Amino acid sequence: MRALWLAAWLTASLAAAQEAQLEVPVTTAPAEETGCARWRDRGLGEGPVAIGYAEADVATGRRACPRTEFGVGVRFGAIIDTPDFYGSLAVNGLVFGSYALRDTTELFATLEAVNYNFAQNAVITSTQLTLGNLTAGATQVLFDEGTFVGSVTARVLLPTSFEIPGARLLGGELGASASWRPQRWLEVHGYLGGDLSGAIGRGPGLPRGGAMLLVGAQLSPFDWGALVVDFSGRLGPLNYLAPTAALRFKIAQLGIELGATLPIAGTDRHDIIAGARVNWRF
Amino acid sequence: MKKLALALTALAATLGAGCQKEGCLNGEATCRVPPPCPRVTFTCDPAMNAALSVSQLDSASQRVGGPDALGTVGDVKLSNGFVDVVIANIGTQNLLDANGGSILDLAPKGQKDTLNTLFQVVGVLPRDAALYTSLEIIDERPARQAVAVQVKGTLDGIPSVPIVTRYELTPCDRGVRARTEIVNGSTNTQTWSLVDGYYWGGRGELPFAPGPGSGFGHPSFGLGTINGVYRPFPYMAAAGHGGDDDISAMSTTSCTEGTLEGFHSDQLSAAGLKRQIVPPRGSLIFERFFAVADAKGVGQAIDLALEIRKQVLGEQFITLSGQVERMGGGTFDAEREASVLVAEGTLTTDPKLRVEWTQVVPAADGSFSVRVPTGKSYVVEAHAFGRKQVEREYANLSADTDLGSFVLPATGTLTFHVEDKATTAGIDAELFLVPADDAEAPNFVGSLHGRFTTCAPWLGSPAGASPACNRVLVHDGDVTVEVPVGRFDVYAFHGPFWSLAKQTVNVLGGPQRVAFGLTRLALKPPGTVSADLHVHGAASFDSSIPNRDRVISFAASDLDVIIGTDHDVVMDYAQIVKDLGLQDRMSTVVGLETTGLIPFLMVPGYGFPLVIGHYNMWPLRYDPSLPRNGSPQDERVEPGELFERMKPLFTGEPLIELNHPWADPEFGRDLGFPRSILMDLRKDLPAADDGTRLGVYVRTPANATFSNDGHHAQEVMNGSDNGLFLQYRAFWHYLLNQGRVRTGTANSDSHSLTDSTVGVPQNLVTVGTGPGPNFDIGAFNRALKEGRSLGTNGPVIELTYEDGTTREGPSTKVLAPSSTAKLHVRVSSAPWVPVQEVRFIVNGEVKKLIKDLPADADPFAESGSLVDCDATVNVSELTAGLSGDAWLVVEAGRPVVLAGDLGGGLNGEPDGVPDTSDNNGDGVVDQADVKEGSKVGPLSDPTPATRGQPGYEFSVITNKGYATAFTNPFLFDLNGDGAFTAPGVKGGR
Repeated sequence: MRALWLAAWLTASLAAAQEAQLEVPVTTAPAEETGCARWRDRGLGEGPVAIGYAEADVATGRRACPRTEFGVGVRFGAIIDTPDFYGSLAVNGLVFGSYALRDTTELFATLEAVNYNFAQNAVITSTQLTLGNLTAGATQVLFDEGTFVGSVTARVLLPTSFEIPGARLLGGELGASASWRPQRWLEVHGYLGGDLSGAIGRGPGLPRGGAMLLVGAQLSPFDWGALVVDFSGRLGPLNYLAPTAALRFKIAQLGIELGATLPIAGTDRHDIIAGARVNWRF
Repeated sequence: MKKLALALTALAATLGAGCQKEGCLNGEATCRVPPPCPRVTFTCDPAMNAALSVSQLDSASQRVGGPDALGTVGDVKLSNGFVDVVIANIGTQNLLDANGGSILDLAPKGQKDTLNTLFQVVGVLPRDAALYTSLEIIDERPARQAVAVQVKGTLDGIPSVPIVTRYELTPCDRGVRARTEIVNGSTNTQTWSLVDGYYWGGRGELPFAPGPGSGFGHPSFGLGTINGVYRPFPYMAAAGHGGDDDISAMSTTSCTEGTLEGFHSDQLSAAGLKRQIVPPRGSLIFERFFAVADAKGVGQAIDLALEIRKQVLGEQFITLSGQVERMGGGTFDAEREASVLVAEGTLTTDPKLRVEWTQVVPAADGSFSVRVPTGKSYVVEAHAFGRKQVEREYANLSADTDLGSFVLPATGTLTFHVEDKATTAGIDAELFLVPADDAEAPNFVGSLHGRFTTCAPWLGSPAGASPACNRVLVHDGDVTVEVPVGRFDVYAFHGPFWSLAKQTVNVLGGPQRVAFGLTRLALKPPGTVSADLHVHGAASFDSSIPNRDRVISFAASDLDVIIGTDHDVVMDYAQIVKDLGLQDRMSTVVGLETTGLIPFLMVPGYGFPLVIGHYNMWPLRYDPSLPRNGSPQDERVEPGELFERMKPLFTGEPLIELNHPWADPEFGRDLGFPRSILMDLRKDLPAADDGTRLGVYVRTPANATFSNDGHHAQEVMNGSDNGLFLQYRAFWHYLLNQGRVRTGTANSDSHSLTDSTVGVPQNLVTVGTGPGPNFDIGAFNRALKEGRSLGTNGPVIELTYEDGTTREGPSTKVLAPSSTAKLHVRVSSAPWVPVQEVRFIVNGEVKKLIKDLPADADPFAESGSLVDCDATVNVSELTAGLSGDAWLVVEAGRPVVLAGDLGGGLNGEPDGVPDTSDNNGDGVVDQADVKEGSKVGPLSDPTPATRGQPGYEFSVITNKGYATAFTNPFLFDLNGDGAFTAPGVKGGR
């Protein structure tokens, strides 16, 4: 029953996004003038840092502007809670890509192609190597005028992972992204999203939702390099307030992102999550 | 986009519809866990359906029999025609089961239970144990011939993780089925090892799990190294080794997997699912079958395990049968006399790599049969008296096979007679057998398939009934036992205040008779009763000595008073005393040793949860209709609150004793409160809780009127080997220096015939009551509280304070000595008890030493002077140089080792307790004495005497202990203020 409810919610979310695409006229302007095109360098990454606390790219701020790219990455997360005799390390090998269907529409996906977990409960340890989660989604630009871009995003979490005994994970997320680019070297971005996931399998669904607000900025003093600083706050069973920082580089059309985040408040116990991504923009 | 949405809707609907919720994983209040092990079936006469039952016990008479039976009124018993199983009621704490829901008793129908507890955990921390909070009795008849108990709860420390277990019985089951379901409802990824925990206790059932180099043997580990000893195994089995008929065997087999995973030790086993990561929303299901067999070895329980594997996995087995015979004839039916071990491999396979599959104890006629997996080569070993006697190889067995005969060596049938020389009446005694030639000793060293301690000769399981290890109990003067052929010195012992006798016996095979005469020596001062305040029997989770042997051992040491102090369960030995006709010369008192097993206590500066250790308490009421026979729930409370809980349970003058205050922890559980909370004895105690660890010691917990140091007595000597005496003594002296005067006691803490001999050491209590029907426990306890006792494992100290007309023995009475006050000390001992020096200790410092006392020429002498030292000392000589008041005790015996405090405290700091002896003999205790790889230690005992040296016989009787006695203190008011003022850690210097 919960799965059906979840599916209905996802359907509604995607439909809303599609409606928005169909009904909202998008202002087109000369490439150099509009927000999405107003960028330091084509190969340089943009938008919020793509390192999050949830599965694949769930609950990460999505950039507002469509682009076509393909990349691979790695994400490393650690919880070392000595007083509680607990430790956890997770490493994800990511494959991701996006396709700009048109200037205002992007389809994207992220797969945890390799999902490695190590967890320690007092002196007992275990490891796990599985295929991880897959997300797929779409972004639709709703407003792109002058220095400002506004988009909506929807993505679904598909039950591809084998990591949970007796269960597969299904979920979805709806969000709105914004990008303000007063200068070619400065982007202020934001993201507001809500997500919901639950298990399907022999056990309880245990649906859990969350809402996240992210604001950040990318400072791009060079064509080849940029600094991104984001602050995100999430409400939900697993909540946090977390700064995130990343360095972005580009070599020709190859973008590189090195980032890290850590919660400074909330129930999330991560000590750090760090990641590296490389992608080729087409 | 619409197409995508539609596709997702369809996907979700498909997945949702295709995922039927199993059992109680979804958390519905009325859920039922599915019947466990549906592929496992047993057949029997349909008439057996009538024997199937489930009910809550409403009378103690319905309890399962056996020394380890814990189930009582309120608990739930499942029975069929083959098995009884008792599930602890909710709200009942037993051993490591915090709140009920565990299996307390598991026994063949009408037989004796030898299981302590069986419970579910997912890790090693207290938070990882199942905390069941509801119990449902399920009777599915007539729709289905099955009865069950379902318990639901959460992990103890993680309320968001629900766990449910169903125990089920059908009419023909040779055991109980179980299925556990657990869901990670938390937001954290977990590593879980969903297993059944089996608490063996160390001297009870031994786990058996096949694997390379394993069977009875398992890799050793500590709390921090458990992860490295997890192994897969096809099944697990265990059997009691008490050596009597009160034992049974069990096995555990997965109903779904090819192997179980876990670890094993004499203390604890874990067997269940493999360790695995369980992210949030993950769930595990564990189904297994606990089979039970009325057998002395594990073989018959393993036969059932192989039957289950055949049904579940299609794995085929064959039956091996054979016969053991003994040269010269004789019957068997005892594990000590014949045990057959079957291991996969060949004679050329390194025995350390063979896979032990099963073990069987032949029947009285020597016949045996066991099942093993088909298609393998096996080595079959026949053992007797702890040693492999015959082994044979059988290659590629794929059909039932007759193994033929295994001929064991002849044994001697020895009848021992021990009598009181003065009356010629047969007496109770304990015999110690030792190879007469040290060079021959290795030929007699045996063990129970490598487990428990080794002994030479090995006459039976060290943990079990007589004969155990190299010890034999004699009741009413006579006993007959089988002994391997060889030449042995046999010592007859009847307590430290009797002569010791020795006979050298050449055991040739066949019957022989050996007689001893013993003489009571004039050692025990008039007006004293001898008492061991700390002994265990089979009711303790870590003992399997039958109660009858236990009581005979009391009499064998000629004790007047014995306090029964079984772990966490009240036991009354009075009926057995009566049955043996000992009630007129011996008094047993109903007591208890509270035993902290579930860590909970956090103290400043230390990050691990702790237990509060062990306390003895008496007199109590034995009530078998109550959980733990009337013992209080003693987990997760500080000592003060525990004492408060005890208050209404005492039946007379209460006495609370702090046991082995500085003993080494076992499996992360401290045995003594002071060491548990890492006290630093270099610092004075605060008057109240000041937020330090010393403050924890003195504080009064909420809901209590007792402080945590509210005990009356403290063990200064514990165990026949007198190990850790220096550390226990250091803590006692520390308390005396702090003005917290507690009576020092000396107890055997015996759990078997082997670990310690009852009454060695013991207390001589000066009191106007004697053993027998008129024994006055109130007077006895008051005398103890007043310090009117002596602790000894042999020497007797008679210490008298003389000042004008005043004559006093040691007590808590404060004395104001004049300048002419004197102490008169007289030390005496049996000729076999070596006393070399007398020590006068004032405020913790040896102020006078009378040393180099001559040894007795003949340790077996029965006449002549027993006095080792008779001296008078001025009190002023002993208190010279002190600025305040003083306490004084006298010790006698062998010199103690030179020892120092090099560390051992929090962060390796010194803690005021000796931890290292002068191991290199250079006269200084320093880092050069520390064992390589260690930060401190070892703290060695004095070197035991060797054959021919004075004290050798004492060493034989006391597990290489050393003679010691100590008095309780005199308290001197030296500054004339009318009170004893504690000198503090500096001892007034």
